[in-house]
Amino acid sequence: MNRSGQTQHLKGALLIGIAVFFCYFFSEMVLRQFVLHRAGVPAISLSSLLGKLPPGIRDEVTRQITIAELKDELKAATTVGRKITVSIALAGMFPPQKLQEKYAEIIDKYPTTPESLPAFINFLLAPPAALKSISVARYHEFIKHLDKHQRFWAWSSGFDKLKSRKAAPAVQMEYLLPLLDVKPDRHEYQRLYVALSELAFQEEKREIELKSRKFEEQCEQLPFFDEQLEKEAKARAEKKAKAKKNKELAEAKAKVKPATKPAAGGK
Amino acid sequence: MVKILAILELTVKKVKEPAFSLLFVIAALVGYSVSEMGTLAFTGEQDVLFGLISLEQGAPLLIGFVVILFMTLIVAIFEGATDIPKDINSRMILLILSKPVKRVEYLLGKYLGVVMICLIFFLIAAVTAYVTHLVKTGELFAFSVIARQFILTLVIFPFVAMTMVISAYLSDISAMIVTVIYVILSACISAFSVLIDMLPKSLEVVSIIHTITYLFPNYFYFFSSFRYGGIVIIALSAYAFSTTVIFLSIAAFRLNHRDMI
Repeated sequence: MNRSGQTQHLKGALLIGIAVFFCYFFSEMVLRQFVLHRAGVPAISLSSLLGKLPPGIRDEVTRQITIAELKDELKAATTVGRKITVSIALAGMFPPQKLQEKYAEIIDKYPTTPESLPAFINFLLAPPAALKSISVARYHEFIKHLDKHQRFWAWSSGFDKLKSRKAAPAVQMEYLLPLLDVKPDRHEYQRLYVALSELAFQEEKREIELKSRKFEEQCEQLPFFDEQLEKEAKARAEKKAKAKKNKELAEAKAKVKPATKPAAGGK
Repeated sequence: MVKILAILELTVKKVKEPAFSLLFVIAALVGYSVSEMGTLAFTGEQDVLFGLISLEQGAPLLIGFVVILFMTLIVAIFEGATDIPKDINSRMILLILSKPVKRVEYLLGKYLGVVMICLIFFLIAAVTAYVTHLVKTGELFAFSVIARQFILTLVIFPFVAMTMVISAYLSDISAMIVTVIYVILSACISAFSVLIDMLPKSLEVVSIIHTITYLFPNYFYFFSSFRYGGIVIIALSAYAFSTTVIFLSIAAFRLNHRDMI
């Protein structure tokens, strides 16, 4: 075989090789997908497999899988809020220092995003050794960016944080004071007003105490959060049922109309 | 092509030997004893094989025919792993290659010969099983069910090619042992890789396992059930064909470069 013949032979072998490998990888991919997803449902559940592992290994494997799942979720997240939530959950899987760093980063990057709330709570009146410290005034400013459902949680968690940091009664009262300027919308706020009344009593702020007591009474009349949710869900269901009924009626009417027309025409 | 057929004939001629006659009697006995086995099914999500083999669609796979296939694969290991080393040891290969026969043609002839022997074994056992089932129960299998059992023979092609690759590198006994080890490894890694696929993509181990997986054929694919009109049967045929070609290319490369003395 001459040189050009050899080159042609080599080219032919190379082309066949590429075609065969393409065929191999493509068919393997199709078969793998066929086995893995039957009618769109994964064939085996991961939890059933993990259940078969010894407890010591299972915990570590589960942790690694959770980390990888969170990483995937973080990559797939499209909204800033989701990114923050997932990145906090991911940092929580590592030693505490990493979570603190993540919280600090979130406050710097997203100071007004509602999902940054856990970071603000974490650094509320933090000691000087911490990476960051959020003042009561800044926390109040941040609460303004939250919706009404998140607000109660923010007030309540912030207050618990202050108590855990053993903040002075005057500081705790200062923290709760803005609650006197807003109208409570659920029963759970009562706890905060009770605390405020007691703090005002301790600090001998009679006017504040009286005002707070009034709010306490108001809260007594308000529904609890779960009751509120139940009501809302019920209202939604009723609205849906009504809409369905109206649609069925309209369809029935539409069916009746064409049936009557030919009869009239026939006369 | 004629030369390949000549080598094939030379290989298949062995069938006339008394040992092979005994082998075919065994095939018939196997067929007889598995004729009344039920359909292949797994208990549910707890069963790992349930995740590796899809049996929800198409004609069912009969356990009897799966047993026959396993017996055929044992024959393939014995035949495929020993044929070329025996020819090298007995210097028969020198005699063949002294004729105008290329080493690749010799390999293809041997390969097709071993495949043919395996197919004869499978056919004898399968026909016996079918006839026994018919005589015992008076029940005829539907054509689609029979077709599904015969599609199982697709696995023989890459399997024999795989044993021939190993036999091109090792002596007969070593080749048999290594083939068995490689098959067990293939099964383990294939199973592991499918299970790994359910893990999140960010897990570093996933990509490593996937890369290793491509070095081993996944024989579980051949046991899944599917509709004949779909892409799966095309993919399965393409998979069998491509793995066979890859294995045979490696074997051909080795034979072209090895010293036959």
